[in-house]
Amino acid sequence: MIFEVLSDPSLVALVLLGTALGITVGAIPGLTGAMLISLSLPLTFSMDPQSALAFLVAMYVGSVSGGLITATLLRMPGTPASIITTLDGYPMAQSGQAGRALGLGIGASFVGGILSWIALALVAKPIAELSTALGPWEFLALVLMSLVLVVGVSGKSLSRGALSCSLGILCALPGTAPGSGESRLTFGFSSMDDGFKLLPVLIGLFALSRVFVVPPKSASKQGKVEGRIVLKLREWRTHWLNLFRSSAIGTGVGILPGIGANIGSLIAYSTARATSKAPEKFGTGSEEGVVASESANNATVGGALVPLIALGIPGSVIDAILLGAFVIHGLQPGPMLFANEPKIVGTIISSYLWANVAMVLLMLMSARWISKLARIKHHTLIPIVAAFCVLGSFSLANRFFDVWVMIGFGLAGCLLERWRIPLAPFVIGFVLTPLGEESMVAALMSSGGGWLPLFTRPMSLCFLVLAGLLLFWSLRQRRAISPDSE
Amino acid sequence: MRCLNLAFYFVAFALFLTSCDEGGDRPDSGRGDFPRKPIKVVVPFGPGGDSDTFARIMQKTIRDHELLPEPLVILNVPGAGGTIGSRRVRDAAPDGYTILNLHEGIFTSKYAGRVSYGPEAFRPIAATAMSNLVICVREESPFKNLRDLLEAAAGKPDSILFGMAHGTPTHFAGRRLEKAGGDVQFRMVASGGGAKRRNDLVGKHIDVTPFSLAEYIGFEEGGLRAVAYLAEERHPELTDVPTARELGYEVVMPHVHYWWAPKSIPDVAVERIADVLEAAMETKYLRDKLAEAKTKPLFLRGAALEAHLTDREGEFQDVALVNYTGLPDPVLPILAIVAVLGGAISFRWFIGRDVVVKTPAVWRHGAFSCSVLAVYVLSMQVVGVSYVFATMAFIPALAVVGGARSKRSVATVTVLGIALACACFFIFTKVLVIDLP
Repeated sequence: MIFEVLSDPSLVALVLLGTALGITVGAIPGLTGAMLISLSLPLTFSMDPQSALAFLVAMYVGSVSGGLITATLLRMPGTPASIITTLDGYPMAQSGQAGRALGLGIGASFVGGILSWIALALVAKPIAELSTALGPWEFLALVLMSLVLVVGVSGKSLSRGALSCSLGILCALPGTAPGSGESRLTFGFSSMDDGFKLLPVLIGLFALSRVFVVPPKSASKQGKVEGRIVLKLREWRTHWLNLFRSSAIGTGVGILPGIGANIGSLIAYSTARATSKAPEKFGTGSEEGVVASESANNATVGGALVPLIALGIPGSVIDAILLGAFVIHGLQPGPMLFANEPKIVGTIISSYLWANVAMVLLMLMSARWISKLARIKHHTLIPIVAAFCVLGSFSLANRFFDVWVMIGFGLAGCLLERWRIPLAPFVIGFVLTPLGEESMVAALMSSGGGWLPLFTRPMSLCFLVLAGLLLFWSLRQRRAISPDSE
Repeated sequence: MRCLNLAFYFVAFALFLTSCDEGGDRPDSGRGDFPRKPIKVVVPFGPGGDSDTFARIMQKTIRDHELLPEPLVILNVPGAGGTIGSRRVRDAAPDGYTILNLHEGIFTSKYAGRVSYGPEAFRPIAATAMSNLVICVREESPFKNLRDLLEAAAGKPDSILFGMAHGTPTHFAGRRLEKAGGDVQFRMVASGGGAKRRNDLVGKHIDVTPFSLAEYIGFEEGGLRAVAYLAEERHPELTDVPTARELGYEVVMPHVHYWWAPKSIPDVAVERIADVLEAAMETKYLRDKLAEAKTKPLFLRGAALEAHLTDREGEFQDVALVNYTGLPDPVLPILAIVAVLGGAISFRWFIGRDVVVKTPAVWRHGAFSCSVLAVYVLSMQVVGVSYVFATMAFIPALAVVGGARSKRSVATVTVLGIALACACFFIFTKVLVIDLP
């Protein structure tokens, strides 16, 4: 869990490279971590699963962190995870405290990452072992809970979230029906026999859709870093409570299936404001705001890895891509993964730890010039992204059908965004539908067709009740704060 | 000028790369000189699986022992239970340079009704390596052996939960056991793949399930017990597991890696590939690898192979899979939900109660970049332009659409495009073995 990565120099190099790439892409407005990771996945086909997953996890950590630099200095959040950081980071930078804001943000990211690593290392295995108790009914209830949850918290409008989720489910239906083995919704095309694959869909939605939209203006100004970045331990004195609370919130939100870093940082931020002695300073350059947002968004990463490796349920949109990496390397997340591939699990958990360490070192060293990345012209980046989109989706199965699927979903992603329909419920609906439907089929076959066990088995009932409570709570929260949609 | 010079070198390099690749692509001039270029082996499953691993071991053996002048190239074409890849080989040019590695999936996808063709659509080359299914129960299960199990099922039909993956050999094994036990009835549960079934078995969500030998070896320690080995004779290393046949149930379910070619492939090519596979099966390296996996080093070709395949087809022909009928069809409900929600949202927008966010017109940019992209993909897919040249043109074109106007930025992007096209072509075809146009 700790030292697996260090035992192999090539893994160390991959973690460093992945973190650096993640930070770079995370810092460039318009490019996101989901884009980087979905485009890098084809490159990992030929690696062994350990290296592939260490590389991808390091990118995940880097990309969640990198956004904070451009968010603070230029008010351009490099990734959605850093939207909240702009609220206080940018005013701090404006008042000549840019170095301090970055120092606090980087430090908070690190603490958030380490605390959630502890949670990941402690919790993942017990949950995985517990999961033999989860049969088809429980998995069905778990999938329903995840869908309700992701609809409830994403976007400003419940109906748009629900529409997005049901569209995602609809797109997952073509192909072979799990119960009967018959083809459905293939319209007679044999290429459709396997439906739409996860990778082309994700590349289309997250990477290619950027190619079709009018690129954001590149930054004309250059944010200057004033003041020290490395802070003394003493200067953290007033922030410990906030750090722990926000990291705990981030980890918890991460563990909940389907919702990721931006929601985590939002909840931690509003909690910090509600409990602060100086709530009026929030939004005008409050240190507490930066700390809360950044520690929570990094903490969600570790949290979100828990349901992914223990149950095979992605904890966030990027985890949906990592799930694709598991599948491509022939690994089945769950308890058998811990029993049969302890080395792989150990590598994932340990690479998460060391990616956080690498992140802190790289960010402290490079923060001064990383903000320049925001000035790179989009018309040089976009064609490269597009070329990798085509190459990546082709290489999945050596066929052009996947490329067209990718282009189709790129257009769809564009339109959905234009109509302000959030993408997260779409992706989670798409990813969880096969698991949900297979569980439903197995469950109904084992009960002989009755639905009653869904409500009489204690654990599945528990998940359903939890789903109801979370929905209720998120509807109330929706009134109190208005979340930024992603 | 420096940029142009650089561009020239890159183009020259690209030409060199593509010409290297096509150097061996001459028509066969006579007999006996097959193969003249790499042979593509389509593995219709993802990397890392059982078929892929075996094909790659075979590839390594042939390369290390220099059994063929040209390499085997493994091409993963996963999807739909192996039928996407098998269809591709069925429709490929029958020149011997595209062959298929597919186990009994070729029978199951036909007899489960997934596709309309089976082994008759191919020319079999050889059968290599064999292992059999293992029927397992929970460690603390009351069923001591297969007879207990089948008698219990006979006494109380539709009560024992039999875990399987729909339309796979595990499903057929269940149906054949039912038949062998005198038309007893299990309650079939489509639990899914091996790891999932193991989980469900240990968690008491199913009572009995078959595993492949490889899966069984992996799970052995994990709270399950083998009651029968579905083979002709006991496995030499699992001597305490009886065969179903010993107990009087004639059920044998082998798992064999077959090699197939398009139907009208020349005999020379079939013989040559079969010779090479046979020689590879004799090597110590491959024998050791198979022994590690407790797999039998079976090799069949020619008439023996034909007879074996006819036998095997019978295994699947004789039992009909009964589809469970009580399942809801999710398509219509989901469509209805999409229609209702979509309608409600568009209605709100239509009557103007929805806040409209003003964004600059994006349609022109989107349409332009999409057309450039479509031309790029079509030029490779339909016209057959090589990847390197298509990409070299595509990257500057998209940059111009994206707003690159000055000479300097266009030149930069052009050089970048050429470098990227060459680098990607090299990495993906030589390192990752992707079949780029």
